[in-house]
Amino acid sequence: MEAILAGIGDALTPINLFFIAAGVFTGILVGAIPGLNAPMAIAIAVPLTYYMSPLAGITFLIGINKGGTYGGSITAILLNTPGSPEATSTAFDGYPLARKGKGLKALKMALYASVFGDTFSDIVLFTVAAPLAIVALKMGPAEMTAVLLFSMTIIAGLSGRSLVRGLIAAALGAFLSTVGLDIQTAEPRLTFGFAELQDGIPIIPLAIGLLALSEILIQIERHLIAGGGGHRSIDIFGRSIPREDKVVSWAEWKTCFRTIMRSSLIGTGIGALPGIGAIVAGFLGYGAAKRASKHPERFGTGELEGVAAAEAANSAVTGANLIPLLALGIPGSLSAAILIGAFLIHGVDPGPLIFKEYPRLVYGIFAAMAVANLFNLVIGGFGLRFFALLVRFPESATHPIIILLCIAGAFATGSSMFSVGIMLVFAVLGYFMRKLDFSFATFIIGFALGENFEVFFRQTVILFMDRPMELFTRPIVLALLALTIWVLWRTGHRRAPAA
Amino acid sequence: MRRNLSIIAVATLAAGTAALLPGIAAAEYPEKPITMLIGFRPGGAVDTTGRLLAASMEKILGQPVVGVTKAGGGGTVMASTLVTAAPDGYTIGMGASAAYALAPQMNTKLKFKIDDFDHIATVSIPQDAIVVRTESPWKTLDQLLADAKAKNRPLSFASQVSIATLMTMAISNKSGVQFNVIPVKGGAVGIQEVLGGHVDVTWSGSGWHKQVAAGTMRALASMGPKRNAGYPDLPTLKELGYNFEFVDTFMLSAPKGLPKEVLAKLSEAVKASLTPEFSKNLLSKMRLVTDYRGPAETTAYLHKQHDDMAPLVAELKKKQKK
Amino acid sequence: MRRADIIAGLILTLAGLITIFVIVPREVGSTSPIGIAPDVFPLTLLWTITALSVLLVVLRLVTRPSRSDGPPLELHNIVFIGVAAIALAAGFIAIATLGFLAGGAAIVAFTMLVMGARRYPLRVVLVAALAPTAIFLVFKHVFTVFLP
Repeated sequence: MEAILAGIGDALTPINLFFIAAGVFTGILVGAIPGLNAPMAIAIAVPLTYYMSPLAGITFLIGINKGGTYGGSITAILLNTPGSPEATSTAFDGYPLARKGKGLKALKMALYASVFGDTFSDIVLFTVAAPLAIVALKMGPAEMTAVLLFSMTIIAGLSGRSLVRGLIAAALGAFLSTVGLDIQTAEPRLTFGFAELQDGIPIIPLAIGLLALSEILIQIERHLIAGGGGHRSIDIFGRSIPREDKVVSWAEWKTCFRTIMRSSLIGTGIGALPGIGAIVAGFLGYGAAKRASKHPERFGTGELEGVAAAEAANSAVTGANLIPLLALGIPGSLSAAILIGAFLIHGVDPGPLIFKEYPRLVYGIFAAMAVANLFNLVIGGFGLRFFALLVRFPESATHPIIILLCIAGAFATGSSMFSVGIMLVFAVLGYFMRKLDFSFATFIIGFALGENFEVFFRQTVILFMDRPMELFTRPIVLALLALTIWVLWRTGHRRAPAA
Repeated sequence: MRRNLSIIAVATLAAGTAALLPGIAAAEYPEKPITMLIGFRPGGAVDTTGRLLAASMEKILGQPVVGVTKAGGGGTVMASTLVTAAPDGYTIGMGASAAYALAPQMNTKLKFKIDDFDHIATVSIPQDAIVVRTESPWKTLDQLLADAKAKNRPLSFASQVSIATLMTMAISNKSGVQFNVIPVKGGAVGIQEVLGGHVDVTWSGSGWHKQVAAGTMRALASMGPKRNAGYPDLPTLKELGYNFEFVDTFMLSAPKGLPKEVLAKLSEAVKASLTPEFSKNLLSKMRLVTDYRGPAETTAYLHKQHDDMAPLVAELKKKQKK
Repeated sequence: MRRADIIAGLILTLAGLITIFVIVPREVGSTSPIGIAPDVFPLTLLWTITALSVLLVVLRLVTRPSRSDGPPLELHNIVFIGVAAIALAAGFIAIATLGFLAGGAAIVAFTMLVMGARRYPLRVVLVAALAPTAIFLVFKHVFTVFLP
């Protein structure tokens, strides 16, 4: 108890408050700008934290992580160019809302849902980290294969107007994820002799090209066809826009609350499992909301619930990601892996002993995380006003600058022009996918899940090849397989009358 | 007004470009910032060694040493980049020996060999171990192998591909126990699989320390040529009678053809950086042992590692062909 | 979408078959001492893609063309993306050879002029000069990334 109070006291010192705020601010900024992202900012900030106290350093980094998950939604909603890949599903309904002049409403909903999801997952972390981590440990390769199978079936239902095109896109994404050194034999696959491809196609340049730059290309084209001045973006602060389009009303809150709760649960669950990630969580949350909705056809045309569902789910991953890190010393994501380094630099070894050895620090971090959520709400609230000004600038000035940022951001991920090349290739590919209605969203999911699915599947085969029947004695595997079949059956039944 | 602004704009652009142009060559090395490519992800053991070293070398050389992450392929991405850099001492690379000694043997498509570099110095070594979880009945490596033999079942072994795979081959050659090697991405995943009881054994470079300290895992043996300083009771594979040793040493390298005085200056700078305080820092924070070796010794060591592993690599390739 | 789907489906089928029979055998090993061979997953996915592409073509061939079925990619779209791809490649080369500042300025100026900022030459010069410089300096000093 003493340690808890002391920890909270540590977190509330002015200097620590300052670093939390600075972290959240940096996170929102890099999250919002296509090309920059939170893991990158954290990697770069790690050396800066050498000179801070452990608590200040670590909370600064966690602040970046938290701010980053919200930041991505800003450009996703305003420009349809997700600032970070997690926000892909936020754009589905966010951008249509912005086009209807309800951009400010969407931004606010995204912020509230994001902070709610994040706080929810933090509470889970504070209270049940240890037991949850033990459950997560029970998830071996066989269980993870089943989890991924289940996730993929859910997401396949999201593939837009044509199921066949959606599936092609997903398979294509999964195929591209097989590029790189084979995990088992260490031989290169489809690398065409490029050492840069040995670790596979890097996801950040791919995502920047596919999500941000290809959309910019489409917008430039639209601008050209409209002839110069063409369509001007809507000023979402304009007086002509009624107040109810700028705020989230109490009634809307109430309708979205169930969705936000559901998404927070999904995001927290995904976050506690190493190896799935926030992009997938966003999609699953969105998919679940659409499935549960009374009017699923409105999703994708500017449904506020869609924004809430996606943002709550992808943000709820942040806190839960730290569950395996703090309880077991195993990083659940790229950001968490980099955070381990930051802990070590400060002489703290995150793992089973951290609660015993550094209780004051751990509770300090928890308190700081709670404060960071509050700051996220406040700074995000101001920040969205600032970013919303963006759409007032003429496209002929913003678009070239975004192109440059895409290039710079792609370069930064590998410090090489090779990543820039990858980014440009996927920008052109993305143009065709958008025009021909091949869901780039299922493509990204296929890419993000494909690699882990292959790894887990191959691990399972080696582990169980001499005793395959044992797979059917594992309750988690059986339960997930049953769920998968149930979802397939329901999807089939729903589609049957329509098709 | 308009004209003034354009002049300012042009001037800004010109100034920006001028700042970029490399300075005109002067006599003494180094006279501009040095780029240190780092072959592994931020936060890991190699990265930390590299960044602490960079900070320290900066003071000695009087020019900034800037760490640039070039992670991937177990250090081979960095090596492939470094080999194409100009050998002028302004691009150096922090990597690990497996990338130079082992990777080109395993993967013939890589476009570099040990001697395509001027290796500047060995900096530090990790303290590794073969580990099982505490709930398991095995207290020693011999017990583990005897148990597997008695039950006539293969042991599952989570491995980060190359080096640990070779090690299991060396062990099965002598003991006759078969290993099912489960490929994992990184030591942390291996530890997770073992903790969860999905896999029997794993090998870890650094993540195992805290698990052993917490009593969740048990160390059985290490791969190094001598016992880990922090774990005097942990036997090495050599002592247990297996003809296998490998230490993935962390080293600083440069492209081949460095001027002699530049190479000397760099390796001196590394040597001077590794103060007792530096070592203490590295040991307490990352559990790494500093181990300075000069250019000739480092290169000779890489060749020794290469030759030691050659028969096992040949055997592995033969197996894969089948 | 009928015509577009048929063309895209045919192209994907062809690309899939070429990858299966020419590229994968050259680029991926097919043996493994234990478990699944390295080429099993890529090949499974490629066969899936090819089969789905054929299915797409067949499905669209059996449905009647609807009246609203305009081609989603008209000639001007193809011209646009062709020009854009060439411009991006040129920008890539410009940055690789001239560096980020000069290459970036060229990209910004070109895009702005194309997008109809011809009426404001001052604005073009300012943005083209300042944006790359600002990005360059921020990346260098804040993110320690040295753009070329």
